[in-house]
This record gives sequence, C-alpha cells and structure tokens, in this order.
Amino acid sequence: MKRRPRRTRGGTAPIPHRGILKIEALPYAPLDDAAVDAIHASALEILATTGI
Amino acid sequence: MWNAEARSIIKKCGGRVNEAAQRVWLDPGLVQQQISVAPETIAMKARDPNKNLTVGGQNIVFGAVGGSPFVSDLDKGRRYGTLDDLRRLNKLIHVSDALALGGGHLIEPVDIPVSCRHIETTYCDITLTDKVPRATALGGTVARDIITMMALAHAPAGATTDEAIAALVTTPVVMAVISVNSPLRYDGLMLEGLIELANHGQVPIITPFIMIGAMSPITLPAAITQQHAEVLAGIVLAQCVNPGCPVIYGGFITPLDMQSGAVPFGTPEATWTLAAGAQMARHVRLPFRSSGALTTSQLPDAQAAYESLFNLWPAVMAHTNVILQAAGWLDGGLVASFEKFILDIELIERLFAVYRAPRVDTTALALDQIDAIGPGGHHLASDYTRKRYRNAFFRSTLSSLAPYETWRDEGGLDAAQRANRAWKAKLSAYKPPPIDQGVVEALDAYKSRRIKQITGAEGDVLSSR
Repeated sequence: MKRRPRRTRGGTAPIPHRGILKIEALPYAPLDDAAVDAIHASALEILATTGI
Repeated sequence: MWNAEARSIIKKCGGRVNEAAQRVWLDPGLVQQQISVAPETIAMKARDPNKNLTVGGQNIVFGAVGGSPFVSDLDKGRRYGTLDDLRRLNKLIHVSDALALGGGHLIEPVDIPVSCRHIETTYCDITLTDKVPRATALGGTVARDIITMMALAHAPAGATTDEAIAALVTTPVVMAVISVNSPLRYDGLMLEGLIELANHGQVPIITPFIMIGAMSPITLPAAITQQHAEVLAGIVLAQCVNPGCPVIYGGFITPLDMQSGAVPFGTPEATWTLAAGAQMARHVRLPFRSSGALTTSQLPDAQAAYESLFNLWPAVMAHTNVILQAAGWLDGGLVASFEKFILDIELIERLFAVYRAPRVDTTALALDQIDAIGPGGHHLASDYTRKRYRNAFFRSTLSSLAPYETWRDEGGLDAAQRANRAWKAKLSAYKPPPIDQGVVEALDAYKSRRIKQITGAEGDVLSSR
C-alpha cells in the first residue's frame, strides 16, 4: 500500500528537496595551470605592494 | 580598507597599515596562511532540515534576484517595489524547487523606511520560506539584526536570545554579500558587515563588482587578477576575525560598453571571466559564487532569454557553487520581473535535466530493442517505450508545443504571457511553511521593538503578516 504524503503543521506537504544540482562533469576552465599561477602570484603582489 | 576596526584587526594579524591613507598591505605569507584555514565546503542549516545545504565541492545552488528598486509584471508594468511585492517574491521562491536558496533583500520595498528594511526582509525570509536565506549585511547594525533574527528562528528550546546567538557561531544559517568597491577599496559599512558575519560564524560572500575598463584595466586577465586580490583581502580579514570561519569567494565582472557607458550583461567577456573566476576560487579551495540569469533587456523578451542563458549555463559549466540572481533579474538588475522569474526557473529546471546524467548500462543501451525493431520500424508501441515514456524526458510546463491553430485559438500567448499566468498559479498554490508559534512571537516582539527604536514608529504600522 502506498504511503500518503506526510502532512505538516500548516497543512502543507513537504516540498521535494531538489534544489541542489550535483555535478559530475568536468568544469569549463579557460585558464591553463601557468595562467592560474600567474594570476595568483600577481594578486599577491598587488596586496603586498599596492595595498588595499 | 575604510574602517578603523578592520585595519586594527589586519595590523594585529601581521599586515601593514597606513591609517592616514586608510590602506593595508598584506604580505604573501600572511595571505597564504590565512586563506588556508578557510573551509572548502560549508554545511548550512535551513529551517526545514530537508533544505539544509552543503555549499562547495560538486554542489550548485541557485538563488533569486536581489536588490532591485523596481518590480514589473505584465499587468501593472514597471513600478517601485513594495513590501507586498517582496512577500509575493518570497512565496514564489518557496514554491520553486529549483531554488535552494531562500529570499533576502530581493527588492527595495520603498514603502518601508530604508533604516528598517532589513528587519522586514529578514522577517519575510524566515516566515514565508524555510530555505537558507541570502541577506544583505550593509553595516554592523544591519548584520547584527539579521543574525539576531536568524538566531531566534533557530533557537534551541529554552535558550535565551544571547544563547541562541552564541549557538549560531558553529552553525551557519545565513549568507550575505559583502561588496568590494573596486578598484581595491572596501567601504566602511561593508567591512562592519563582514566583521559581524565572521564573528558569528555566518557566511560572507565576498564579491567585487568590476566593470572592466572603468573599475579595472581593460584586459580580462587584469580584471581577474584584481578581483582575485580583492577577494583574498576580504578572506584574510574574515580569517583574522574568526580563524576557520566560512567564506564564499564571489565574482562579478562585466565589460563596460565603451561607446555608451552602459553595462551589458550576458556577454562573452563575462562568460570568460566567470569561468576564470571559478578556477581561481578552486585554486584557493573555496566555494565560488557568481550571478546567473543576467540581462540588460527591459522586457522579458528574446534578448532577456539569450543573455540570461549565456550567463546561467556558463555559470553551471564553470561549477559555480552559489549562483545568485538566477531568477527574476531584468534591466541590468534594476527590475525584479515576475514573468522573468518564471522564465528563468524554466531555464534552471532544464539545466537540472541536462545534468541528470543517464546511467550507461546494458538496459539503457537497449541493443535488443534496436535489433528487434530493426531497420525502418518504430519504437512507439514497444513495451520498452511504454514502460518508460512518462518520465523519459524533461517536460516543460511553460513552452507551447501546440499546433499553430490550437495555440491561436487558446489566445495566442507568447512565453511572457504564459509566464504571467504561471506565476499567478504558483502564488495561488502557496502554503506557508510550518513555524513554531513561539518563534513567531519572538520575531514579532523583536521586529516591533527594533522598528520602534530605529524609526520611533509603532511596529504594527509596518506589520509583515
């Protein structure tokens, strides 16, 4: 026998929790490793020399 | 950093400070050490435990439009937002499964005094939805009010308000955008909000907003580098306040139209910087936030659709963990559109379907079926099809699939007109989430007292219920 949807106070049935998209595919990533390293090093240089 | 307390914290942590210039310098070792203690994923608690979130890793969550001064719908057109509009948007969020995040400062309800809008928006967040909200922590007072109200909503049985606030330190329940005033400046109110959130273990989304060419050099790599530096500075401050506190790395870069000065959204350059920003967040092992269904269009039209998809799908492809502004954004963010909300939900639902990867196994390969039907046959009548057809494909509730004559005879509605019907149907189906009466009474009392303190007005003048 099928179970009836659980009723909660306020008279509403729970909304199915479906809002989290779990993603297995590889990300679109336009930067190569050297570019990532260069950007990170440059950001550190900005914080050390220009300041914020 | 335009806040003396922030500079003092940075100085104690090992940074260099020039008080007269209101500027701080962070050496690479300090930055590396501080960002290394920020958590890679964040477990967030919702009022409904079924809607708790793990932010980061391979998880992506979507949130609705935020901060728009105007709202629009096909019935009344474009107008200033009100508390009633805010309530209706919260209700739409609650009934939209595609959105894991709750409400927040969705619009500016201009019928409420500016100084206490955060009280009303937080009250709506808590009472009209039961999802994790995304607030706006514009100043220490605002952040404290939001944290206190969230503490009341999540208070352990019998706890005092102070005990409930203390309990939040290890239980993130709200996230809030901390904007950077690019280039390279944190304003005082945002720093107050950041310090308050970090102190209480709540989640700042540290987000520069860079219009390339005006707020950074005009090249995309320079914009990404500046964004990275700005975010890292905020993360360092948060970790100096409360080592190990959760933070989200935010990115929001768009080109400036150099011929008109307008800010276009859904552009190829924004797509590239979004994905590159996500890479930089992964490089420092932090959850990443971007924006979703952005458009410059003034109407929920074809331009709105293609620009939104051009930002929303790349955000997913880049593995953005928190995609804000994913439903309802119109006219460069000036407008929260009820019809656009529905059109964007349709896009998100399709993305859920795209990434619901089918299992590739013997049954799914169906070689026996291909062999049995053979060349020139059809599969419509097979048991294999009949067993699966109901749930085999994504079914839009918005698109028109009817023959032309049927569509014409049923009113000849375009997508925006169908969306108009859809948001009204969703609103009529809304049922408020359950909430403990004691929590409501505590929130009512707090709201009434704070509004009276802030404005001198009686609380019931601004009642949300």
